[in-house]
Amino acid sequence: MLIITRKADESIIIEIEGGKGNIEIKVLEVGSQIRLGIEAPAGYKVWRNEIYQNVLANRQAANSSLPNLLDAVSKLSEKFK
Amino acid sequence: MKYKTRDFGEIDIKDSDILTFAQPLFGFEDYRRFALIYNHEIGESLVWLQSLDDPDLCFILFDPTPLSSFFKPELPHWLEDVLGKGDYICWVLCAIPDDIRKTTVNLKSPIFINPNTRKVAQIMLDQNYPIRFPLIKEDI
Repeated sequence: MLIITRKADESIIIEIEGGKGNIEIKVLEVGSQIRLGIEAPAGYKVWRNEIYQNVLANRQAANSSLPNLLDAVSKLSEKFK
Repeated sequence: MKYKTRDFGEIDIKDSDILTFAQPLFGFEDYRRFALIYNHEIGESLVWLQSLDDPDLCFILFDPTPLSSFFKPELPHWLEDVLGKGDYICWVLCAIPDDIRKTTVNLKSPIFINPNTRKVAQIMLDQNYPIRFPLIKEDI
């Protein structure tokens, strides 16, 4: 992990190779919490990590599509009748 | 009106059965209209949450009542502003892999439905519940 010290109003740049633009993360305010400003080119989504973990779980849930899903769900439901 | 579904072909869904996500599923912000599909062979412990905007988008929900000895979601005070007044029905999302014994449910961020307003929200609870809780303890 790269560790960088920054003050308020300073920023870091994450360069995306291939001329796809850069991501800038700026420290707006410091204190017991910090405020960040993030600028990223189109096609890059910025998430709070704890939300992103739910995004990943939801995507996984949406892919619960086995050929025999009905059978699988039926077996699961037997456990909870 | 007839809608195409992922797992049940084309089925008739009444306007009065359409659910609208007032606060969408995380990562599925463009999908708001869904319907619950029950299967009489399955019973009511598991239900399909079918998107009415994309036939290929469908989730399986689990009624967490059997987990109530330790799963006691505390609703945020602002939920009433999102879903309207009333009682809410809680479901959790299932992730069912090829090996169904490894099925997990998301207890961190359940889905709450207000049957009166037919509004729905996925809420990330402050409580420290797992995003991937194994549903099955022993072989089935």
